[in-house]
Amino acid sequence: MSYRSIAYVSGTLLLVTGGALILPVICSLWYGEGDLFALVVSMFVPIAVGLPLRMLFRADKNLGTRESFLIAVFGWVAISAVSTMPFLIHGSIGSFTDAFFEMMSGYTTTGATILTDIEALPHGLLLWRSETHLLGGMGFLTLTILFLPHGVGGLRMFRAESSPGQVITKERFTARNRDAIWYLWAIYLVLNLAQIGLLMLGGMSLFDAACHAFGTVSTSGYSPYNASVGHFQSAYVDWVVILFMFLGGVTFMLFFFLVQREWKVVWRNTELRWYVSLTVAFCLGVSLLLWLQETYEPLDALRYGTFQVVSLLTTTGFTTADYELWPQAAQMMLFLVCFIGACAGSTTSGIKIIHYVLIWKFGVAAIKKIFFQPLAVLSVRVNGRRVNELILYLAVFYFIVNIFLVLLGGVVLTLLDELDYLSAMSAVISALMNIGPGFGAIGPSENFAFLSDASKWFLAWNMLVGRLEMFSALVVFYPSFWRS
Amino acid sequence: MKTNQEILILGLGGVGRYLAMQLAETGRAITVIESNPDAIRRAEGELDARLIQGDAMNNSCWLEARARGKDYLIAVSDDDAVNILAALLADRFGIKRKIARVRSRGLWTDGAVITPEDLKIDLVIQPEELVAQEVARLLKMHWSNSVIELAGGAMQVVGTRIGEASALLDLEVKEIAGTLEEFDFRIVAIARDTNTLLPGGDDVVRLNDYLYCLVRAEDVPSLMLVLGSGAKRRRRVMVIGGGHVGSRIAELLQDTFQLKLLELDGSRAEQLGQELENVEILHGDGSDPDTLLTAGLLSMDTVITATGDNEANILTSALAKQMIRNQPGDRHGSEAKTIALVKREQYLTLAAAMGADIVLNRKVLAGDRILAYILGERMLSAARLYGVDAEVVELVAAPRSPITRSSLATVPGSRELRGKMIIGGVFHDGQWRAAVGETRVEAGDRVIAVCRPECLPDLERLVLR
Repeated sequence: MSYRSIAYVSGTLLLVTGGALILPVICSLWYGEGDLFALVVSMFVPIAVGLPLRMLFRADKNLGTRESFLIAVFGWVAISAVSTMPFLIHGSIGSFTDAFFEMMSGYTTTGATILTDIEALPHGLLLWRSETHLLGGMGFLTLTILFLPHGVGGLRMFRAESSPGQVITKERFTARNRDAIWYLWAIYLVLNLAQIGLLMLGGMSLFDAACHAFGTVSTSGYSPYNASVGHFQSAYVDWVVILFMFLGGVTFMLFFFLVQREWKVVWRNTELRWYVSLTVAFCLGVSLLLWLQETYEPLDALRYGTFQVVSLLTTTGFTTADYELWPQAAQMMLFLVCFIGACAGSTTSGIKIIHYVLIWKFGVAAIKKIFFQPLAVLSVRVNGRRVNELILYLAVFYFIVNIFLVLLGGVVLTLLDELDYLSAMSAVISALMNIGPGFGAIGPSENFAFLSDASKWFLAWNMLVGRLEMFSALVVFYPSFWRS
Repeated sequence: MKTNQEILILGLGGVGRYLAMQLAETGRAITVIESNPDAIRRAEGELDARLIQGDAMNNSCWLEARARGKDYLIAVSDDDAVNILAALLADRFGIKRKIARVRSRGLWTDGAVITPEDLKIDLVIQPEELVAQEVARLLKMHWSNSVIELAGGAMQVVGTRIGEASALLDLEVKEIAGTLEEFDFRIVAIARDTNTLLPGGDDVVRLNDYLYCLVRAEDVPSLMLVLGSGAKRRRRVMVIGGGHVGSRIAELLQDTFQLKLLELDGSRAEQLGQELENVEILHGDGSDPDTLLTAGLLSMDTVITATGDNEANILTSALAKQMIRNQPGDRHGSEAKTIALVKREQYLTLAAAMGADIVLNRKVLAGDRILAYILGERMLSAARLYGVDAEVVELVAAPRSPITRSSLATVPGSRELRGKMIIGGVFHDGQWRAAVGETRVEAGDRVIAVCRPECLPDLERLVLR
């Protein structure tokens, strides 16, 4: 284990975190609500620690696979811990556990909050809370890789965050890893800017527009208002947010191909087709139910239904209505949608459609081989290419592990807290899939404040596991990982 | 001065993989087309390159690789015909320079009706020819003085063996620098047994070392005087195996050395007898000690094992060395060298461990040749120090490059590169000087460096960025 190179990368991580605090500082200067001191101190401490680390260990740049995994897992923990400083110094969040939960939830793009009255916080702190989404959405580590000199294990680190489906979608579209990350970030920022512009056209202030855009494109879900996006009571805002939640769930590589005008690649993309079909099907299903059961007028049914389906499907977690008042069938569909997720290689978390595609095609082919055509060669094609068998097995494994983690997590949570088992399971789903709100005690009108500290740490860990897509978070528990 | 060159590589075999690694290391954008999914899976996560699985003769692969406008094509797939055709394809795609590996030797012999230029190939890599050339140069250097000209002749690298009469014997490199004040020179490489040292100040010059010194052209005669190199007798060389490579080596060496070639196959031996006038062709089994004795092995200065069989080459060279060294009344045995040609790169260390003095692998040679070609474009000149595993390179220090930031001894990264790279001379204020630890290189200075081929990317990073 090369601790010196880990120190080097950690220094860089701290520098990036400190640098990112410049936005909230500016915001705080503008609004002048007494959070300036906390933000400025929080900005300089990471820089003061990070700069010497980076300078001191700049000669040690050999990141192996193990170092990369360590940073991929514990980098998030460290950065979340550092990012709590503004809240703790300002005093708006009293306990470290709460602040850590809030920040981990922000960086992992979960959007689950422990704040009971969000609007009581000063604007600077609220912007920082939303900015963690911006940083976490495209992967904090990928951002850091850009600040590392060439050849410092960036490739390994980039790959440390990946599920089996990612192997297919993280297919390289540029020759250099670094270029790929640049493009991804450029696309991401352009989407954010576009949404900010559209929201401001709808009459939002720059602050509101930025916070919501940060929460939308990264499919995270922090809103600076207690009523989330529902605060605005505007159909225009709802539809803009729906559009960008949906775009945030698309494999980002495809935007690159669009810009390159390689339409065919986009058209051929299996996962995108499934994504569009599933989204349309569930939106129509829920909206139809809301209309037929006379919960809303037809147009409103479409608006509210679509919003909630897209919000949960893309693991965003914005709400415009209290869906726990909706018909049971609609609620059940929303519950189901939480398990699906959007496309791999997007800003979303969750199980993701690609794994369903793989499992479905694998199942169909396997059954055909067993019952109808014993001579058939088992061949699953995605995006016009044959998929390696190991990836198929891993996809099945990934799915099963996810389900099991939800059930097991539910058990742990019911032991730790006085919760009904549905709420407990829903809380774990919400954390593991990085969604935010859930059902029951942590439903859209509630928050996570009432949970015990132990539960909060447990859920924060689940968020991280979900964001890292299981495998790298599990790898560090292998004893052989630590042996040299 | 950042490189934004884009390179397309066909084939992810030994050479392709080596090149992709080395070139990606320099920040160049690499795209690889390879048909074998296993090879791709192995490279994923190790190689910062875009890997495309597919057939190099399939147009859609080239489109997917965005071949248009790339700077280099390196065609190193298994198939000569594919590599040649790829160069033509690449030309249509507007790729600027095409490098193709062509194993067959027959295509471009004298009077050929088609030239590499016709096929749009800028650099043809013939691995077997490279090996033969390498062996030939190696021997020529090893048993005689050699000179490489640099900087348009202003500087030279002089190679010479240290005999018992040499004034430099048993001195430390830094002592030598201290005692000789009449003129500047720098020892840039020492070939000792199987090793090549790029010496630091503490290294000691030993008997039988082969020294490479960088020196101003006008000082060469004085240096020769100091080095005290005497007259040489004609050396005896035996080549075991008369295949393509073996016979080519014999052909290249026949005028310089007293040569014997031992071939197993009778009719092949007869044919060789016709082709090679100045070589004594023998017919027999090179792995048999009695045959070797009869062939006159014990009086040989160098034995080259060049059969088509990896294992036979390694074992025979070990055997030959054992026999020469252990002969009674040893006269020259300790000086005798064995060279083994090994095709499988996995055997390289094994062969060295078994006692072959020099092990040559055509894949590594081909890779290094291509590397030198591509990196060399941004260096003024690159020459191979034949006989040792090092390149002599002349380059111009770029503004704000790491090397210009402090004196040579404290340049960032110099610690790790010790023994792998030497900055030998600097052209500053219209004058060449030998470089020492306190020397400071300024932007725009010309620099002569000696460096191991695999460190060329490091050198580039140090001086050109």
